[in-house]
Amino acid sequence: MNLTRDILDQQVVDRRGQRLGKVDGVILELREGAPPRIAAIEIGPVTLARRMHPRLAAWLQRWLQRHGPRSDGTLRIPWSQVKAIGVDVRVDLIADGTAARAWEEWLRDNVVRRMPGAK
Amino acid sequence: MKKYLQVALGIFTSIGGFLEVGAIATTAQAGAQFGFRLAWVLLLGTICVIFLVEMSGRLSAVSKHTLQDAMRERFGAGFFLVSTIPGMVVDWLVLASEIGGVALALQLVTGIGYQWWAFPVAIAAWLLMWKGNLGLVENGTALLGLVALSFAVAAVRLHPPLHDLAAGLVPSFPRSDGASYWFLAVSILGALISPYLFFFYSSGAIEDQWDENHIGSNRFTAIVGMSFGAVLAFGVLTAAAMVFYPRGIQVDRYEQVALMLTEALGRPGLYLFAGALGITCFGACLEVALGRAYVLAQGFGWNYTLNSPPADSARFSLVYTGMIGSAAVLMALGIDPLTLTVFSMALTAVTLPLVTLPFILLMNDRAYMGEYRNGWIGNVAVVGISLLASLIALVAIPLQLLGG
Amino acid sequence: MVRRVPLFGRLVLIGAALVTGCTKSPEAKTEETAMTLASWEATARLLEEQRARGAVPERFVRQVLRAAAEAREEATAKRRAAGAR
Repeated sequence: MNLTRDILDQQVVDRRGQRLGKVDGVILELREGAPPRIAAIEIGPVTLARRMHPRLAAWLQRWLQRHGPRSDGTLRIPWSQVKAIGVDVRVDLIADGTAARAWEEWLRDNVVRRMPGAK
Repeated sequence: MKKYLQVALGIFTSIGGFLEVGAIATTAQAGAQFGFRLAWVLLLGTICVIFLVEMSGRLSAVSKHTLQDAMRERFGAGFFLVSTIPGMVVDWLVLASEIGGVALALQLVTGIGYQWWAFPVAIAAWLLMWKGNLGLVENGTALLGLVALSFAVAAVRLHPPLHDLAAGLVPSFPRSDGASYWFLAVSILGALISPYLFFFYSSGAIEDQWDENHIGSNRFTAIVGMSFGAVLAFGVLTAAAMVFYPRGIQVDRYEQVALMLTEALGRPGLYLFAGALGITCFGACLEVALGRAYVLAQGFGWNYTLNSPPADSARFSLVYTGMIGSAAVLMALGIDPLTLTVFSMALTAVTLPLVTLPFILLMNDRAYMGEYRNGWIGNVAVVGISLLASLIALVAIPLQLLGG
Repeated sequence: MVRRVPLFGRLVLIGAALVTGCTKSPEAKTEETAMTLASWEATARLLEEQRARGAVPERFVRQVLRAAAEAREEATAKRRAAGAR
């Protein structure tokens, strides 16, 4: 398997086919005397920003912690919950209520549902 | 029935994405100022667009990825963010132009100034996305858009000299007015080859769940749909070349463009022109706003679909809402729609390679396309034409800005 | 590194364009204004022809004439500004 090609930036979908986000980061576990192994994948704006510039990430994190609907919106999914890697990365999880959907749900409840004809 | 629906996506894509305010404005100006001499640009743009639309459909059918999904995966987050920002700015200007096109069509019919129509138009387009679904959007526009055939009818009724038209298909250098010639040339290319078209089309293919069995009909759709748009665009160029060019009329305002249809078709010409302009631009409003919403949703991995209520994909729905609302403000302020249109089309040409070059790399990637990879003709045509458009635009835009 | 080259190229092009753009002669500008005026004259003639044939509704005629008047005003203002210098 090729980390950057088959996992990073792939679409993540939950058990019911809801889109969670893209794989914004991959967490490796370094082990002594053995090759490193994937510990988890991460979804979230701060993780994404860290790939651009650490300062941007720090700034974004501070802003999100202060104003974001649910902390900084980073979702870490342990590798054991990753079920399949194909067109999408399928994870054994329900998207609703996770940090990755914080903005989606906040906007849905506070903006979209208050607009006419959104049901 | 299935096949019919697929062709509907093609015709809709063509009506909203190919023949819209940009194509009408730039080809009318080209015909008025240079007669048939810019016809070759239209031909070049059509060839490039047929290849690209076919590629967008094939990419989705084979890889099950939309163009944007595939780009984010293949080229990473950095490229996504860097290419999205200029694309978004340009699309916003294009969207404002399209709203302006519909608003002007309404002005022509009612006599009420286009600024007053900006918000009603934006709200109507928004409601259709908010309450409707993709099928309704596609079929409705495809059907109503047939009124644009009046451009072709007008062109035929004006009895254009076919040898002049044929001569225009051979590239030529202008004897004078070089700056406006090349500026118009890239504006035409930018108007025909619009990136939002490919994002929209490949997303439509995924929403309609295409697979390898659709490849044949996809090719058919791309060729027929885009040629349909091209014939109409040639109609506009021809009518302008016949009515305006000999009289020395430059097209500075949309009101003038209507005169070429009333010349050919009489009183109904005005209403046909307003109808064609209004409907094609309305289709384009939907395509641009949706195309951008698709790009962001797919780039960040959000839920997106037109086929269920907006609450199911809140961020996606709010992107097109915000785009269309803010673009309407620009038009309501009373910016000249024709100037904005031609300028934003030229800007589109500048940003073309940002989309076409990575697109071509994807289409040649065995991991995505398997045995359905691109042939060399498509590669050469698309890379050549888009690079050319971008380079000429980089020179022509500053010249036009400072000279005009 | 890779991005620097096109950016540099772009700057050169823009610079070149600035130079050529700024040196556009006043004669060329006057000529342009004259062409715009002539174009609107021709538009008005075409409109009048079509009106005589009954090919255009009155409401539309008024719109075009208003657009023509605005454009003419703009062009004459430009010409005056150029003449004053």
